[in-house]
Amino acid sequence: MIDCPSSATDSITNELIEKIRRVINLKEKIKIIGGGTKERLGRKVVGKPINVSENRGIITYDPAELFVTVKSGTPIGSLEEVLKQHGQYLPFEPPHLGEQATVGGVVACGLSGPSRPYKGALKDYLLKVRIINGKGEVLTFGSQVIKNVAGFDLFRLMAGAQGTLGIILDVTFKVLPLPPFSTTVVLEKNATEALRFLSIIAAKYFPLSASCYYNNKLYVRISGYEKSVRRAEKEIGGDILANDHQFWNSVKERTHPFFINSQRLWRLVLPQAAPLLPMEGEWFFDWGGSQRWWKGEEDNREAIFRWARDQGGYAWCHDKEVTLASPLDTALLRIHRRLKEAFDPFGLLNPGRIYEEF
Amino acid sequence: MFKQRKIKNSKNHSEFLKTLLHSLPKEEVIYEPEELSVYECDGLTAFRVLPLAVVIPQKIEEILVILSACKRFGVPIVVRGGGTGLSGGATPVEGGIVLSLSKFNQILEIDPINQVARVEPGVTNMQVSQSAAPYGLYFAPDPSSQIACTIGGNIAENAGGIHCLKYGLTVNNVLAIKMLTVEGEIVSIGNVGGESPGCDLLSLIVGSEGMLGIVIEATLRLLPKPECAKLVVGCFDDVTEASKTVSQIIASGIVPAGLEIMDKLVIEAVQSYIQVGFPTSAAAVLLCELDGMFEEVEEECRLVEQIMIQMGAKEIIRSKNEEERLLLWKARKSAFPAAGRISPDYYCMDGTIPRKSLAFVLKRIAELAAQYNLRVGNVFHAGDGNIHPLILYDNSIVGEMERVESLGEKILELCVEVGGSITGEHGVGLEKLGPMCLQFSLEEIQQFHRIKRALDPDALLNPGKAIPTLHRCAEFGKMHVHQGQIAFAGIERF
Ligand SMILES: Cc1cc2nc3c(=O)[nH]c(=O)nc-3n(C[C@H](O)[C@H](O)[C@@H](O)COP(=O)(O)OP(=O)(O)OC[C@H]3O[C@@H](n4cnc5c(N)ncnc54)[C@H](O)[C@@H]3O)c2cc1C
Ligand SMILES: Cc1cc2nc3c(=O)[nH]c(=O)nc-3n(C[C@H](O)[C@H](O)[C@H](O)COP(=O)(O)OP(=O)(O)OC[C@H]3O[C@@H](n4cnc5c(N)ncnc54)[C@H](O)[C@@H]3O)c2cc1C
Repeated sequence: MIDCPSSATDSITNELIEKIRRVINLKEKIKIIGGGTKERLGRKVVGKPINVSENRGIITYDPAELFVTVKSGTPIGSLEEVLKQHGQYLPFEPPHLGEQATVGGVVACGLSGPSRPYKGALKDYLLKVRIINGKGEVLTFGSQVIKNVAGFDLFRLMAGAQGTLGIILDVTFKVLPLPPFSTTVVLEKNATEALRFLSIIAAKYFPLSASCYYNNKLYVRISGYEKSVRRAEKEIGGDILANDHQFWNSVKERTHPFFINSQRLWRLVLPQAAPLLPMEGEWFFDWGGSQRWWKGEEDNREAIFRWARDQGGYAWCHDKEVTLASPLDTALLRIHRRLKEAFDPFGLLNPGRIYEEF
Repeated sequence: MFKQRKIKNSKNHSEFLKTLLHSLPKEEVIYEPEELSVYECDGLTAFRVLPLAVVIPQKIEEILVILSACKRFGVPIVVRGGGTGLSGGATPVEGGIVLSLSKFNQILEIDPINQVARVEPGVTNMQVSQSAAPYGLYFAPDPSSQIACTIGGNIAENAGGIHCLKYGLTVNNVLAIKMLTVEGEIVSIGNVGGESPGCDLLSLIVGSEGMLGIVIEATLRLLPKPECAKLVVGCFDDVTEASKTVSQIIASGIVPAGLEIMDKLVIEAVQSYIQVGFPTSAAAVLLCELDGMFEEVEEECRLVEQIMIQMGAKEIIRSKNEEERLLLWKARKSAFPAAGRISPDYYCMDGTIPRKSLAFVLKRIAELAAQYNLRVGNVFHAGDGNIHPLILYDNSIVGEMERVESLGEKILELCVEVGGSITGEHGVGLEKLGPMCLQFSLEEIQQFHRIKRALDPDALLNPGKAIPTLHRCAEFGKMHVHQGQIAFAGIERF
């Protein structure tokens, strides 16, 4: 069990809180910076930079309790290292996209890795978050237990809010034991066949933990007890992929050749079995077909946003400098604006990061 | 115990009723007192309020008409699903209406390809799994009330069940909803892909106890039925040993599909109710369900039995077939009716604690029970620390109810003290407005109020539930209001 006894580290949190409060009192706009690894994952924020990465360290970790409480500036990689030493992990496999990536940045961006369709998303593993809101108040929502229905679940709301609702001070994650055994099979399929095949195997009780498709190859990872994994592997078929850890890491960290040198990259989140985009280009499917990356010539952003919406999904467009998300309809936008006001009445925190309007 | 808010706009009640009767089919509006009394409470029968009217619309357009009339006349709305809530969430508000969604009871689509179900809010939890069964799929959240409670209510309460530990709560199994805002706009939140742009509103709405919007459709994740499920039951001489075994099983890397404890008082009650063969000499039984592929279930059963023996189990029962497994579960599921047979009344508490505190908390509860001279039985979701102490009492004895309440409060205080929560699955509703002040600070409660106002500025949706007023917290004695500086001083306090 790890408890953070040192008052020195607490004084760093307190200093940070004081600093943020000072800036808030002056009603200055704030640009929150964790590891600074993904400026380009949202819109440009203009504001006084507040770096939260010094606020680091594990506060509590008791493996038998399946949770860990950690300060937001902690590098996500170092947290994962500690968990691994105890045979545990963050089952949503967060992308780091750089060594500096912090826990706060990962939560703020709400991103999950290849295991997402089978093990759940980041928000499914959030139990508690302590934040500073735009009034300078320090607030805690959630608790270290998985069943807690007291009050609104404002902690999950922080996942994906990109720092627009509050500055995250520390986070409690639910963790799980690492699966004892894992393997990946590769099958030759075209895109349509791959999607169909994925639906079929997902409806069986196989311990799947990741699946992606690229260039006529379907990759399926299976994780669990060796005996069950071996049987699933046989029933699914295909060839075994050597070095599969490296492969999935390249998918998670976007270092796979598909992602290199992309001027403009589209990310579409769709129902698993949604049809192919009716436009020419290069595809990479992750999350069993739900997360689709696309590189193509199409310049009509609105057309792609509309297409994704018609399929019951949405899209991100990563350009060199900025990421734009599918527009929100009027009612949803109004709700977002009012929520922003409820947390940050003066509009100080990361203004305009996801949408211009809040 | 609870002071009802007085509605200011009562002068227009008859005008309001006229408007409803004018715009809706006659059979959809109930306003005769004897018929209204059916709706005067939910599963928490201690609170009863007669609503002004009950409306049972059939179409979304009718809900819109109702909303607009309510807005015009300032009449509060309490949405009702199955009415099985245990915290008074669906208790009417005086001078308000109950909006029953029982006619929105269609399964709109079972999509085995994307493994989702699209349903109306009045569909029961059980109906979803039944409709998905032909495809080998099911809906994982399984509150014990699943034959009667509705998906709308599950979403509002973020309901859980025996399978939560492994498969998550309602929030982890809802992919999208359609919601009517109090302004009468339909918003789509979330999507089948599992992620939507902007903030995660879906997580905000799930568990918001009908205070932020009216859920009119839900898209639910369906899971493949496990190949095999086995139940291992360990019988212990000591409830502390059973509690410690829970932590050991989890620490070994196994995540059981269910992990439940029943203590002596409950075992005895159950044995005299149905005979399942638990040794009545046992001080506690630990039920551990393992599911998955055959191979992993075999492996895990073996490991769990080993741990149980190491931790002092005197006897171990493993279900040999599906029939036996269901019979053993029946014992667990009969705990509440069985308790009802050994005591004229009982009060079922609901709180969550970290697993490592189980032994300590159970011991403290026993001490408190002795102090209050009340019997407490324990049957609970040990795997996720969600405890349900059953305080047995007799309402006909003068003063006993007050003692029960006071003991209940002490138990919740204990839950918060060890880092848990005042409610694990039943919600706050009217019942736990006081204890909310134990778990949250003044600023946190104010933040909840700001969220409520962001989505429901005139407080028409289920007003007075789930979030205590600051005044109430001050009365509860847990929160200090400095120099009379109360936020929203203009809002009525109750
Ligand atoms: C091609 C590609 C695509 C990717 N796609 C995405 C994607 O779509 N979305 C995505 O988010 N990530 C994406 N990533 C990964 C992401 O960049 C990392 O996971 C991220 O977590 C790194 O954290 P950081 O600490 O460097 O964050 P930073 O870059 O410092 O900050 C990221 C965001 O989080 C906010 N933030 C940081 N710390 C806090 C805090 N303590 N409290 C509140 N807000 C805080 C920042 O203000 C900023 O809005 C992608 C990476 C690549 C290469
Ligand atoms: C015997 C018994 C056992 C139980 N066991 C469990 C258990 O194991 N786990 C558990 O979690 N709970 C349990 N409960 C509690 C209860 O069944 C759940 O809270 C359930 O989710 C309530 O559903 P309902 O449809 O009956 O909702 P109701 O009681 O009708 O309403 C509950 C709340 O939801 C709101 N609501 C309902 N529908 C909507 C909608 N469409 N839109 C917005 N708000 C809405 C209501 O306004 C109210 O605030 C049990 C109850 C009983 C009686």
